[in-house]
Amino acid sequence: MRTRRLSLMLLASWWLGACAVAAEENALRWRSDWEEARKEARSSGKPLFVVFRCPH
Amino acid sequence: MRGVDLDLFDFDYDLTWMGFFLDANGTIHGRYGGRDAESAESRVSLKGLRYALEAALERHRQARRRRAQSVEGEEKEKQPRTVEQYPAVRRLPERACIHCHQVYDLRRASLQAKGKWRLDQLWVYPLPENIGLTLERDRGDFVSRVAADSAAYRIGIRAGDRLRDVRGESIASFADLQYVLHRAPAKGTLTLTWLHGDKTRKEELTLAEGWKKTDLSWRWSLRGVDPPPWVRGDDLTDTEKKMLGLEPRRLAFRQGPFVSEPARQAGIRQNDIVVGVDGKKLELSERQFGAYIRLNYRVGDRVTYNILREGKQVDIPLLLRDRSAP
Repeated sequence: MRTRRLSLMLLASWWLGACAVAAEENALRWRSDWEEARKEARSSGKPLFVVFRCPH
Repeated sequence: MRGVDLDLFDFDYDLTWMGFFLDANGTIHGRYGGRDAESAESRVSLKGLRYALEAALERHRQARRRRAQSVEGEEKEKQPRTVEQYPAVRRLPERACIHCHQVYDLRRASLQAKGKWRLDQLWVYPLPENIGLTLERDRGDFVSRVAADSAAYRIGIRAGDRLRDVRGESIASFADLQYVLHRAPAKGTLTLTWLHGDKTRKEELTLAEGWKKTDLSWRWSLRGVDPPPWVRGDDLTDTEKKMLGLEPRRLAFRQGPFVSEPARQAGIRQNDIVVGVDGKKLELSERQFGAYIRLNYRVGDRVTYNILREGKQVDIPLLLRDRSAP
């Protein structure tokens, strides 16, 4: 049940320190383009989980 | 942070990690992240993230139901506020990365240019402990501890109670509460609704002047505030302090190999042990000492550093210059 709930979310992430997108990790597909992720969320009705990471 | 909508993604920019749960229309259903001066990880956990995610998904579902029942107009696109709008950004190389903490630096520079900068603007994102609450790490709306005689204690919140909303905002994480506290007034009241057993309670909590103050020493953006202490090094160990007859919590750090020009000119040397300033015996770490100088002194102030050198105390005066001075 919990796994299904998580899959309902789109994921978006910014790796701000290096200004680069890391390779996809495990099974989740992270979107690195905010506008694209937002467009996808709008059409699917899914919520977004947006993560900001900075080295310091 | 180039191009990021700062109105939408409004968070504590000194953090190294921050998560938002939101809809495409910009409705935020929850936040996750946050830290204190002790550690970058003491306030977050995977269990806590899952807990906050599930609460956010429930809010998302409720919002969808409300939208389905109402007739809404077109989403209004507005021009986002971004870092590029701060004039100081022009001092950076055109394609340089702008780190999260630099949002604070750019905002401060902008306010300083307009003469609107105030030191109390540094007190951002107060901890729940500032009103007397400690939240469970894995269930961010449950109160694990209430400090005796704190503002929260006085309105009747007790350990085991569950926060419902604060200032009308739902709470499911440390970050949710910090965001609300950040936006609360510097002095005034705060309305909290919580569950005590099966009873819902709602009260106004009093915010006394200065309630937002916390230990800022971990904040990267604080390094951009003048004046710096101009001395820097490693804290002495408890054993080293004991050998010198110093209390374990007493300020004592050894000046490192890189001695700044102002410190060198004043006569401070590598391996000098800084144990105080202006005769004050402070209970601070080296990092906290940097924050102490920035918060309590101004550019142009003359301080006297109390130093131990080869077993003898020497007092060395130093002019606190700003970082841009030659």
